[in-house]
Amino acid sequence: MSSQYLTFDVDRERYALPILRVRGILEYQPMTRVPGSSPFVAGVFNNAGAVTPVIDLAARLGLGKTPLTNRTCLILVGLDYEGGELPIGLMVESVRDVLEIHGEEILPAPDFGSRIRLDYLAGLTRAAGGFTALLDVDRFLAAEELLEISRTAGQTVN
Amino acid sequence: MDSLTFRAAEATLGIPMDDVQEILDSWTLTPLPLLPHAFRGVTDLRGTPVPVADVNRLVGGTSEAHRRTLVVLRSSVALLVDAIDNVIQVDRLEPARMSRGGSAGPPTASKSWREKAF
Repeated sequence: MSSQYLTFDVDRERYALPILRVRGILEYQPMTRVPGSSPFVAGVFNNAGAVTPVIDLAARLGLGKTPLTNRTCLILVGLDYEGGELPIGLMVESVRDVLEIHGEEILPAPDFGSRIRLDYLAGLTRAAGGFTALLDVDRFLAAEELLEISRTAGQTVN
Repeated sequence: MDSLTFRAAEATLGIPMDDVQEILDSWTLTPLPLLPHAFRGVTDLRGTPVPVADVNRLVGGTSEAHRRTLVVLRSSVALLVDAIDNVIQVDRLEPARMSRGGSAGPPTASKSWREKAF
């Protein structure tokens, strides 16, 4: 069985996430900064009437801020949150393409020792030549970060 | 006991040869974010991702210049070193001497490597 993954760049490295989780891809657009929010929250923007928080994926992964170019994109995903779906935008350097990955091509991330947990990492694949990190969209944000982001959006999640 | 010696962090260091699986001069690195400073990412060892620990960073060295050789250990971690030096016969290990209150310098027993790495 195979699944499709959307590949994109963060800090010049390729990452992928399951395309079933992607609600849309937008060009970068100016957003409203939210005072007091975490450094990885780039701001909020109006997505067809819904206030949508945007996470700078590079900043969340400790790789500095995503540079603004004409290739900067927002990947819209819905995160599992309190039984509902929290829509957020992931700001990335650029979107590449869609990759077909078979289940057996997904390798578990290696063990870096018991104290090191890479929650953002669902696994690695060689499907695109070299390793590509698969992003775990439901685990890369901690519960308290999700809470903060849902408050940033100023909306209740149903 | 045979010991593999190598250059890293402006020093010559050694590990038991029995811990060494293979030595690679040509390899690729996939960086992974949010790792401790000593880890640089994973290398592709015939299809298997293996963590790469940078010995310079492990022992607090600053040199990032000449890169270098991977020593893959049987414990599924690869050490990034400046260069392979030699294989020497070690009959007896002297305990590491540390100056009182001073910095310890590079660890000298192989056990310390693993404690530092994980």
